[in-house]
Amino acid sequence: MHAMTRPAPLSLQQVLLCGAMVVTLSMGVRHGFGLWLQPITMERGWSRETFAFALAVQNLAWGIAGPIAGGLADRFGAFRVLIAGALLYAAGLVTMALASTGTAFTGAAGLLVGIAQSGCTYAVIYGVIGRNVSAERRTWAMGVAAAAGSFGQFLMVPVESALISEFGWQTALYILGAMVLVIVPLAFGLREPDRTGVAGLGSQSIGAAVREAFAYPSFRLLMAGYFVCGFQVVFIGVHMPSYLRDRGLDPQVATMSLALIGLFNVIGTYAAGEIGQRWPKRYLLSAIYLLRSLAIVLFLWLPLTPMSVYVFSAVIGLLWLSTVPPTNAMVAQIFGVQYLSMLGGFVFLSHQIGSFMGVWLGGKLFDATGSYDVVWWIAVALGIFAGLINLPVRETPIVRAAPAAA
Amino acid sequence: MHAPTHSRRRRWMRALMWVAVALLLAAVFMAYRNPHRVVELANRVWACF
Repeated sequence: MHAMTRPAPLSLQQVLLCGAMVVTLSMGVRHGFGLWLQPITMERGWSRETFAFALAVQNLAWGIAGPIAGGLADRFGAFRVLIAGALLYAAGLVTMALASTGTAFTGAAGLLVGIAQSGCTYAVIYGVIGRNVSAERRTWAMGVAAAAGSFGQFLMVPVESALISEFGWQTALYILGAMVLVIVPLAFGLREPDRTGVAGLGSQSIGAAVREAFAYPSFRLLMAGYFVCGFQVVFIGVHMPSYLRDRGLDPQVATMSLALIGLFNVIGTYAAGEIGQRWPKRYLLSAIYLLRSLAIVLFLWLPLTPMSVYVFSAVIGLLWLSTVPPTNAMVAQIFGVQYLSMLGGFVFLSHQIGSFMGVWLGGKLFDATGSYDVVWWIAVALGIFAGLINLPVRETPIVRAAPAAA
Repeated sequence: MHAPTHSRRRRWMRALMWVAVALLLAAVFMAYRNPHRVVELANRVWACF
């Protein structure tokens, strides 16, 4: 029996358009969840801790479910996982609106939305990009998709704030639930042809792929670097307004900071894809982490004024999600695209553990010391660490032993 | 003769696309600066912490 010929890939325009719209929605909708803290806790009579706990569970569930959703997407097709993710997302948003106890809210906003996120964000979309876009344009394409996710975050904060004001917090959640269902038709645009039995597309088992990745030092270095990314970004994102308030700055400064981070994040993420296509990605990642540390040092060292906050926000925005395209493109470059979504999910799990540590340590050390200084300096040290450990990453494809002839 | 015209059209299309992206980003940025929204948004962001 002859091996089947390789099926035609999806077109670049189709993959980018559908993939970008999916991540714009999936990344954007959850980004404004903090805006619900005040109305929900007031109406339900919950503490802030109840709300914060649900969002912490969401981040961890997103990370833990990531490799599973990625593995399912690699095995059964990304479009099926995307549809399941969209349905879970909508169910999570509606249940958030209806939840009358803290436990139910944690189940909805934490577990349902967290698992849904793992099914319709970068790792799953990047698997489709990896399998359908040539290596010559892959990092750039990942940059476009990541920039779309960044744009979603930038766009949805004012949109969600307006929805809460116009329709009330509960109806706003129903509207978002309807919005994420748009992912379902978009998923059909990412439906790939069946590749089972196609020659040259790899026959590695999932277990072998996981063992191979974890035994490979460069994969572990990428995971360690991504941990730092999560720590820094989420620490700054969550604790920055509080830091500014403690230093006596106006609330509008925090809003402007949020807007600048969002705007420059779109530009930086796209640029990272463009640069990563031309330069060695390990150097790009190293530069991003070292520049983050430099930006934080200058921010702490210079007098704190609205202008210094704006400049810092613009610079850190440029470096915000710019690690996403080169990190995932390197995973594809080293291990190939057969299990790209699953391996991307493992790397992202490390990111989410870092995110959790950034939020938790930020609060813990603030309570212990009365300031954020220690955590800021931990973020600086981690940035230098990540900058250095990315340098020895081997970007070349892993060499696999040829299967023995029968 | 056709090739230069085609490549010029592509350059124009690309420039137009970048202008559209810049306008979209500027429009969203202005939404953060909308005087009706900025205080309300600032209060909500502040309330998170």
